[in-house]
Amino acid sequence: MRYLRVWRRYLLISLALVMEYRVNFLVSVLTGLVELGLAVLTFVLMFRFTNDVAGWSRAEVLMLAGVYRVVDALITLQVSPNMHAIPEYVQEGQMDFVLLWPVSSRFTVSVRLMNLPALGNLVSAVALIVYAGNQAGVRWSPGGVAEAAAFMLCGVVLLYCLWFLIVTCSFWLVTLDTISDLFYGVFEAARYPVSFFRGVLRVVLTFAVPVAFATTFPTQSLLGAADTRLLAVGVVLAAAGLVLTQLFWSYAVRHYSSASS
Amino acid sequence: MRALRIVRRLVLLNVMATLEYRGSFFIYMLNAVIVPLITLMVWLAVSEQGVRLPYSREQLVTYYLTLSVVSIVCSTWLAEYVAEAIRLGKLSSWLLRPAPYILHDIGNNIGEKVVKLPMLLPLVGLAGLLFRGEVHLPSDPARWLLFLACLPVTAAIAFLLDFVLGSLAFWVQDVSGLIRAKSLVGAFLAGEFVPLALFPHEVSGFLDLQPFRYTLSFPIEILTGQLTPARTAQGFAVESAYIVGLWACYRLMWRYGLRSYSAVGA
Repeated sequence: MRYLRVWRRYLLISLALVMEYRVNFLVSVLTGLVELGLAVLTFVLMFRFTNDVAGWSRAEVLMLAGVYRVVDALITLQVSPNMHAIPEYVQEGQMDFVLLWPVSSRFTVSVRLMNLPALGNLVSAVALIVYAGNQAGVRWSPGGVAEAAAFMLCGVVLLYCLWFLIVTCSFWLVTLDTISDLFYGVFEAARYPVSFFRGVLRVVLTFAVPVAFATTFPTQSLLGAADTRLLAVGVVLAAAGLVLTQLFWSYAVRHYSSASS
Repeated sequence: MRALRIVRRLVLLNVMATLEYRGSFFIYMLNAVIVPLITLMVWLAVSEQGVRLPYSREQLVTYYLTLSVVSIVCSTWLAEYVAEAIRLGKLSSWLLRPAPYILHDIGNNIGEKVVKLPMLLPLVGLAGLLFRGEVHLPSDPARWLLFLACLPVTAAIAFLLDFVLGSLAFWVQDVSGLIRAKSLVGAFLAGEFVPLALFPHEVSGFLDLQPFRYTLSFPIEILTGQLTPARTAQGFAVESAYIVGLWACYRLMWRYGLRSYSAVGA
């Protein structure tokens, strides 16, 4: 409960920031539209040559592009501003203050910053999902949407864990301030269904670097083609991810040589 | 001549500065290889549907591996910095120096690339090992010469385009949205995701004339060997026109821009 109150306070601060820089919101929505348009165009060009790629039709892949935009918006909203900030805290000694605050340090560094303009991109993303879904002949049901949302939540949590794991290394690699950029190479793979990749790579992208839970499985849920057992796997993986990163974080914090000591 | 000496100095300075952050730059290089590889995998999946693409499997592999290298050689990141220098008045200290501001960015651009390339090439080599026997580089020395001649011109176009864009900050308050939009659209029209040869035939006239082809795609097209001599010559003509045009733009913008420049210290 107390954590929820703290998070609400962070939210209000971010809201004040958005109000201050209103043009940013507009710019974010417009560039979001450009990104969405280019993703659609890429798939349209790709499907000029064939009607299906690895079992995916054009409409289905466009749905996935919409799902990717939703995940991207969620990550930009709550995860990425914080992941970029963590190496800075360590470098500039701000971790001192974080450790002094009477809430879990991992909680603070993970949720303090929010990039609210990203919310604007949810509208166009959902519009694309609905439009492409109708083309793909999706029969919308509350169950399917809930299942998709659950998969997506697991996916976002897993991506956060992976990213958090990477940036936690900055306690040792202090000068590596771009360490968080490593994540983007991985996230790029989430733009496509995992079945586009073969062999070991597909297994890696499903379980080790779990982009499949973020985009492929939610899209399949909406299409009514998801393996529900995987949802249980996702929940277990997400829970394990949260616990493991917590352990690693506590271990790493003990190695923190603050700015003043 | 004096400008050359200054650039040489600035390049050395930037090489030192970049080496200081070598770890960070190594991560950039990893991404510069991984992202094209992912796109390559996707196109290979398409080609395995048994459809006839205008590109063979080998050409796709060669295209995307070459793209890793060319995209770094021709990369720019300066628009944001130019805009910031103008907006915050960092430019003022340069106006006192007996050298034009653009040399500062030229030095930075070349200096960073001198460090980046030796990190990148082994990574591309590793990626090449994954596709042993499927990378088809031309054996014809003439084509390599054309490619090598084309690279610096292409890098210069990408550089000038960014510089001109950032210079808009003389008149426009916030150009960051514009810069972001340009980098998205520019990457797309430069063939980063879809090789330009895979676009519909009807738009090829437009694709050949738009500037972004000459910020990345054109040298790769020369090397992967799908251009007729006539189209190669035409490409070089368009490239030269862009260099001249962008240079003129830069000179004009800075002549009038500096007059209206009113940041701190001006």
